[in-house]
Amino acid sequence: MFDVKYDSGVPIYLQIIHLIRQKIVSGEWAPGSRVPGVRDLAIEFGVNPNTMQKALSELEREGLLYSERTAGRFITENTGIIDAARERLAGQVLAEFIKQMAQMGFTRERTIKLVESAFENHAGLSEREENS
Amino acid sequence: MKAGARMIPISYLATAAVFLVGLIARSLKIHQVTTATTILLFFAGIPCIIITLIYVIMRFHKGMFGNEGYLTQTLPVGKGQLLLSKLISSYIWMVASAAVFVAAWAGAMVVSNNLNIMPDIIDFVFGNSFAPLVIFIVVSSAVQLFAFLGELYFAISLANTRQFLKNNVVFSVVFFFVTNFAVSLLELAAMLLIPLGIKFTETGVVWTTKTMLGDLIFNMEAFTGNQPLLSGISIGVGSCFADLAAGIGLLLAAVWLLNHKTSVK
Amino acid sequence: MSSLLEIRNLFKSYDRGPVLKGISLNVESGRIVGVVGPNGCGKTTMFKIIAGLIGDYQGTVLIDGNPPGVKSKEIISFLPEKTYLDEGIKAGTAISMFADFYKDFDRQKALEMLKRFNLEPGMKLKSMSKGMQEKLQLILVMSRAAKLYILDEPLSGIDPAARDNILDIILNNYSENSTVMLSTHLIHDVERIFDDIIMIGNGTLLVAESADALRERTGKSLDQYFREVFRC
Repeated sequence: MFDVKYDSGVPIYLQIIHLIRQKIVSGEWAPGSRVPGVRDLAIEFGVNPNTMQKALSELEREGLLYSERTAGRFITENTGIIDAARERLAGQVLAEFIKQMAQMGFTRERTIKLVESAFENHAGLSEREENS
Repeated sequence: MKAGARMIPISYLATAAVFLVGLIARSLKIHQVTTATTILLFFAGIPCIIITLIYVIMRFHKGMFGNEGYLTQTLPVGKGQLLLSKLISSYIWMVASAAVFVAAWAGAMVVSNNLNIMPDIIDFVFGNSFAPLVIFIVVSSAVQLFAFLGELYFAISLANTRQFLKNNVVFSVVFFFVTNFAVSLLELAAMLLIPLGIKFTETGVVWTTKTMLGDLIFNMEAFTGNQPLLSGISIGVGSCFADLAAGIGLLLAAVWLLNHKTSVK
Repeated sequence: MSSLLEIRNLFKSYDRGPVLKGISLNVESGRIVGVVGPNGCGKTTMFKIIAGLIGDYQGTVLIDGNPPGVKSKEIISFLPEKTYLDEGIKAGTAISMFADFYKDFDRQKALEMLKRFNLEPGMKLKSMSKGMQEKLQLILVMSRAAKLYILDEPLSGIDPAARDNILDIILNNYSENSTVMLSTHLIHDVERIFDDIIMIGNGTLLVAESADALRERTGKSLDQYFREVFRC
């Protein structure tokens, strides 16, 4: 899981947006569930409430969150939006992966073969975990 | 600060203890002890006053400009009010210590079995013939104490302004003596030149509205060598006005400095 | 709408030389502002002037429209680096004292924070470690409902575990009606809570902008940027 690195040059509100998107996309923050208040979230993340507010507003604009005036802020139940966000996130991870593999000198075919054998090992591992 | 404040009552109690010892010695007729305690009691008031003086100085300096100053000077209270409250409590402590000093002397009289002269003293002091002198001594002391505290507070405040802040303790002392000297000169001038005084005559002490300076010159010109020295001399009481004015002026100056020129280190 | 804190052309010299050379800045309400700079750069002097401890300066300083004085002191809660309490005083007594001095002091809150920091009301200051003394003074300052909190190095002398505790208190205390200005050397640990950052070097203002704006502009964290700027 990507953790907020408070020493990077990336604005903190962007880091928070990224982190929350991951939580929504992975289902850790379930669709339709209520989001804690700005102040509580800020304290939980250890950041400035204004910064948190900015991040949440941005996520609202994207449609991942919505707020109901009196009831508070919620995660969208619109699976279409969540899926789209998931795809976009996956795209970012893949782009970074492809770049790094290319930097190491792997071709496209070799990379795909490595991915497939990695999955098999991974599957084998989890099977062995389940059987033991 | 708390330790300092406790020292003062302790010194009072110590004086009272000496008095008690003296009383016991008197009733037991232990001659050396009564003599010793009588002498002690004459001096006992001095440490009381010194301890009180130190406390008064420390209370102002530390309270306003020490670490405690970070608390004192950020309170939502005017500097004049802060100064006034310190002034009042310091004045009361000084008067109390002065009273202990006087009481110790009275105690010395009691222990040395000289109480029988007390009625004579009281008559002498409060009898009509000496009333103006007594009034002058009491008022003069009260106002001098006021001026003294004014000099103290002004000196310490001035010493904590930018140019002197680095060596504020040394400058506090210097400024105090300079101010004290200046006020003394003022007292002298007022005493000699203000046309209000008390005159020693054969029948007692009376008020006069001649200036002391004028009176001195007059007396020196008329001096034949056979007259008793004291008769005809007057003492100007104008010094009281000088002290009052100086005290007020110095305190106002201190408040101004506190508002515009002082810093807490 | 006027700013909570307005400083125009602030100059201050001591006998050893000028310490503040023409600082001008605005601080709004509802912000957490970091004030950073190397030792001796003038941040403490600036704080003391705002808090009303230094009356001798040139320039304009306005807190909620008022110059430093009785009115401004009612809405400013200042935590200096020094210990200003009498060392024989008990924690509980200090709390009562502050409750008497300030109308906006919340005694309940103070007592709760005492407990949270494992301090007893009956403890005397002199029997506390330096860290505990600082925590007590912080509690006293943060238990007031002030409009401007000024904290001068609130984290020095505090062990790393308690630091988060303190930052939590500051975040918990956040409200749109108040602003916290705090100075620190530990930029790396603390920068995540800053809305805005003020950087002072050698008595002059080097930076006064939002923390995220600085990050975006320079591509660096505040700590990295600071180290670059003040590299010897």
